[in-house]
Amino acid sequence: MSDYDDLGGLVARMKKAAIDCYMAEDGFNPHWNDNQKYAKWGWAYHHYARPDANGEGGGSPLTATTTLEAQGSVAPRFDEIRSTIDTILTGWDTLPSGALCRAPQSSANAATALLGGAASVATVNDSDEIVRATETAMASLNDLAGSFVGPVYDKYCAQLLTVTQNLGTVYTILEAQYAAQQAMWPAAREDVVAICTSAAAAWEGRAAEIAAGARQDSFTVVAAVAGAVATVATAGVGTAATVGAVGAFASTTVSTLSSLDASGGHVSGDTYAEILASLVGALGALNETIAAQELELNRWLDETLNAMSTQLADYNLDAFTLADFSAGDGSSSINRTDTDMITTAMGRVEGALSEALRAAGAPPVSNPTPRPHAIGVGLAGTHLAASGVYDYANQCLQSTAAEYTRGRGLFDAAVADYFNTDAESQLKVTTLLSQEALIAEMGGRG
Amino acid sequence: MSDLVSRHVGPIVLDGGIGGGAMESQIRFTGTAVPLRIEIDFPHRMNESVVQDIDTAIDSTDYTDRLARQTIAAGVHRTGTCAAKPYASWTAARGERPADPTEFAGALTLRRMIIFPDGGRNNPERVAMIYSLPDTSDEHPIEVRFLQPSGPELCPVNVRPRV
Repeated sequence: MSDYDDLGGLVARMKKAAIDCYMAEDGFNPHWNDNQKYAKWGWAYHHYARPDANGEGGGSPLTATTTLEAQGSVAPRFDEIRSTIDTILTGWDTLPSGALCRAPQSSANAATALLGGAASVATVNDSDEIVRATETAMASLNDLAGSFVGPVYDKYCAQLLTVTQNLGTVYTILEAQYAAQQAMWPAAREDVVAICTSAAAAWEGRAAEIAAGARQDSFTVVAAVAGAVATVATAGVGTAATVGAVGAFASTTVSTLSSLDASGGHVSGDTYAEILASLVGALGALNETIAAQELELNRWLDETLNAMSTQLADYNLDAFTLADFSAGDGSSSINRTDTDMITTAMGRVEGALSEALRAAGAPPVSNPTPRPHAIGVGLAGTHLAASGVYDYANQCLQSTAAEYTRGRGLFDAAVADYFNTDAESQLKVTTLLSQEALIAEMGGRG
Repeated sequence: MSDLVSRHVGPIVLDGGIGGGAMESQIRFTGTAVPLRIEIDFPHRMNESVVQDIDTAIDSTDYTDRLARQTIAAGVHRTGTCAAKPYASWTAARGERPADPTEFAGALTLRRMIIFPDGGRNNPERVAMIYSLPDTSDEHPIEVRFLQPSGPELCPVNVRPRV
């Protein structure tokens, strides 16, 4: 069981420590001979019940003196302290683990491996299948002459490589986004534990110092808390570094994330109330760090989606329009060996595209990092932006695969017709060109 | 006239001594007037809360006295405590009668009570109870100090007597 899983136990410790501190500021310490109760100065005949080990109960007067009768129970104040801590920690006790990001991260990684285009990313084991098969087809196409050679070379080889490598990069960005979320939440959980532990230690230390007779002087214990709470900053930068490592190609984003100022967790003060305020401040700083990173991820994803929709032809082969190609002098020079190699190579590309589409799977149906709305950039986090890119990439990949299959069919038909009449072949090319002009399915995003 | 008034000792009027302030008064304890001294380390922070602490300490003199006598009884055999020598004298004076530390502690008379309600980093002491055997001089006072938060402590013999 991780420390975060036992946050309830830590919260109980915080409550008891906070109440001890509050009472110590009023001169009440755990009784020197019975730590179940508070006594004025630790021993005088003025007692209150102390909360139990879970920080619950306590506050009722246990001695009857004129002073006590005037003061009555402090149980309502104890309840108020506990309620305040519960309120401050609302939501922080139900943070996501990030584990649900593992599956989409893995799928995006697999798609990238098949599509290529992100060879600089260490996590991707690029198969190079599409590149190698396409280069084979291109080499053989160079040996052919005929009106259809140019269009086939331009679209189904050169542009195909652009599209698949760009799509590979998009899936890498998705992988990085899910990796970032997967890394961020365990770090955030650790930070919550560290902050709560520091707060408990601050209250305990403060109560101890007061008990040692230091009541009227200034204290240094909270300075130690500031050091511990600085883990907020450490974790923030660390999480950003994780994003950076995965998506090293997105240098601007990495730079932005790395420079995030997560130093808002600075703690100062030397009373129960000031430590409480510091706790609020530290959690606020942590929240700002989480939100800033998610905002950066969202910005990154939005830019990706924007690039895809504005340069669609570079992400979707079906959206690529052929330039005008001269039909030439009508002569053709084609041999079976080359065309067989080309169609075999195109078959391998077709298979790899189909495999990539299967590997890509689908984005998570619901937010894989569900959290209370007050934490991070909102209830959805980066889910909507990531799903938008994911769905769009899948659509592009699907259209590209379908278009490639159609292109391969046209090539095969053109080759078959060559051996009958070159005019037929020219007709096929004309058909191909006219279909391209339609740019059918993917005219725009969404 | 001070604005701060104790239920037991009336208006708090400090003598303005160096490094703080003090007030001499007395309390009634088991039918006898016992000198009381109140020492304030931080006069400028003196307020109702401090006066309330003084009254609480005086309210519970019986309880504090009981704790003090238990502490003395438990410490009479420890060499070096301020109770060891008076106990030895008391025991010798009893001749053949058996010596009982509890009886010894019960036989002591409270000579003086000192309250230090606001303390400070160097002064965790909150109350001092000073005793001696009846019909003896104050040559060998027995002092129990009540510290925050550790409780009663029998003073060593070399502590400067406060009586």
